[in-house]
Amino acid sequence: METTNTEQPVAKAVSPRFQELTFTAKRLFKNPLSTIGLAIIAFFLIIAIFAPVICPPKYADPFKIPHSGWKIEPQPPNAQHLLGTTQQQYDMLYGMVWGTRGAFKIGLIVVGANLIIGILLGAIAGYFGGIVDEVIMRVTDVFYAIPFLVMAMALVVAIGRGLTAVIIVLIILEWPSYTRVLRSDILVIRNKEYIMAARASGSSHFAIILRHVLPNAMYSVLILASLNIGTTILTAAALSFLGLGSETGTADWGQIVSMCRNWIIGAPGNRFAYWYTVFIPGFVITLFVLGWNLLGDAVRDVFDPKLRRK
Amino acid sequence: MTDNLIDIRALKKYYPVTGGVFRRHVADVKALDGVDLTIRKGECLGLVGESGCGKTTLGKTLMRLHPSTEGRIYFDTAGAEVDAIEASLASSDPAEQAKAMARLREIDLLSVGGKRLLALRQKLQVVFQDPTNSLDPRMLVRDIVAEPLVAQRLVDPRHIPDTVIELLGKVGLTRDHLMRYPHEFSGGQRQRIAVARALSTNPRFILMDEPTSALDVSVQAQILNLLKKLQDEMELTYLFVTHHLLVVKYISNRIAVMYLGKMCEVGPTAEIFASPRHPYTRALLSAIPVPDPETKREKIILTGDVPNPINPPKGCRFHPRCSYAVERCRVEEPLLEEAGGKDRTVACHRWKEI
Repeated sequence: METTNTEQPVAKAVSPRFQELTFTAKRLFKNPLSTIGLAIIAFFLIIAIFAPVICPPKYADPFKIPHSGWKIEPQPPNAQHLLGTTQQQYDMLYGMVWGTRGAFKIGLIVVGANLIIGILLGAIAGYFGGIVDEVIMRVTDVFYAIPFLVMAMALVVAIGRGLTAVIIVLIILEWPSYTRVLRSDILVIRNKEYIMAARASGSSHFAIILRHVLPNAMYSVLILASLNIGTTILTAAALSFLGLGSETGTADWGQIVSMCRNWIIGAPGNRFAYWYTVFIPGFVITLFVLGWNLLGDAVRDVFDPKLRRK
Repeated sequence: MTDNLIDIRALKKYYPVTGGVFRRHVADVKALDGVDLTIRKGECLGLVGESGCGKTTLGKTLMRLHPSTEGRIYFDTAGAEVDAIEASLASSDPAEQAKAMARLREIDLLSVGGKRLLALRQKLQVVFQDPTNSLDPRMLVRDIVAEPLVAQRLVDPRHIPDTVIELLGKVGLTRDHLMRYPHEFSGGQRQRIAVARALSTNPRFILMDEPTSALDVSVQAQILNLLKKLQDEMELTYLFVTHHLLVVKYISNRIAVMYLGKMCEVGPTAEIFASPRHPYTRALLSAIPVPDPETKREKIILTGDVPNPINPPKGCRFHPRCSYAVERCRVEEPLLEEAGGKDRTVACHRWKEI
């Protein structure tokens, strides 16, 4: 409506797709909580990117934490170790900074792989239905029937402990929820008249899935993914805490929490003698997960079609 | 004799009903149970009937949006050839039948596939009832209207914007509407977009599946006039599915009345409105409100509901609700037969007496 000039060329100055994008961004920043979430994630992202600058690695493998001496007792924050040390004198700051890279790696790889698998299987199951749908859905039922953490532990042990094993196991175990969510959305969209119109137009099934079904059904899955990054980090940390993740001395948050296990109760007479060894990694993990959850909530608010317009 | 654009023969569409743990096939919903219908070149055929009688199913089967159970649809086939194929099918000679079947696989709208189907899709288009549902909310008008062109590779991609602008012009929209989303339009404008999409492949036939039912009355008239104008300009043939009888009276040359998956009566619009032969048609017509409080009319009120299409009544399907029903109606199913006057057919045993 802004241009009444009929001589206006077809391509407007601002493309409508870009307008949609700015509209989405505006909604995202309207909510203070989502801004906080974005800020937290941005903060961690900067730390992850500049990890080599903040804490120059000492060994060829940057995820190996340098340690000064083998003294068992953790040291409180001091001039040399800004966030103190864990047991065996691993530098806490180094572990936290390089652990951020690890956390992003785990979260993004696991969720990314889950999205790919979930979208592929969910689209096939939802759009085509019938026997294919039946088989895929019963497989997801099997995954849902087994307690998650028990299965994860068993699989990690079977593959061989380590961060790679944790990533693989989380990918194996989490795709069913994506598949289910996408399938249920596609079941609604499949019978819409614009799908029939596309078929009457002669579009192939592949083109219909790509151009109509996925653009309209993707949103719940994207919301799920953004909410799941935090959860994935937590699960990975839990597996590390149980001793199934990385080896001692690796810059991995779960590993560092696990190293503080013996110091949680403090010293006789002073419960909080080693607070830093528990508090610092715990706080960092909580902050990271909180950031993703706030962001996920914001993504949901922005993409929810009921809230989006009007 | 004028050739028919579309000739539907013995079309059946059953939806299976499954039951039990093993999803056994227990029954069929007989949405279409042996429908014969011809649509002539350049006419607008109105298809009326109450909800659930199979009007929409007929349309969707015709568009190959649902697979059919049985039957044949000839599209733009010479009348002589249709007769020849039908005769061969009916003959007892297996060789004759096989020959007819082979020919059917090439021309029958219900059995062709691949490239032939794509070529037919170019000539058959559809406009759905509710434009909020039939336009993808995440596509620009340009992409919506161009979709059939892209899918069938009819136009060089570089010419698509110009082609779409031309199509929008035909339906009363302008180039300013090109780069917008459907939610930015009113209901009438959206239906115009849907019509533009249907016109994009330069079709011979457009299925109108209640195109005005979701619109305001004032907008309905605009869309109807647009459709009439386009029909004249582009020599289109319409199958106009609706339950709104006055809309049909306004736009159609001929009317087909359906009841429970069967044709009741087919004939020219004026004659059907003047002298309906089938009791069901009479009941339908008597339900049209007359905008004059002084007129007293005999109203035929049908009792009971439409029977369950899983288990339709034996004999004439309308007999449980028909006030003229006799013993014969309960037993023997009436066939469509010539019924007084030019190309009028009716499926009723007692049409002469009523």
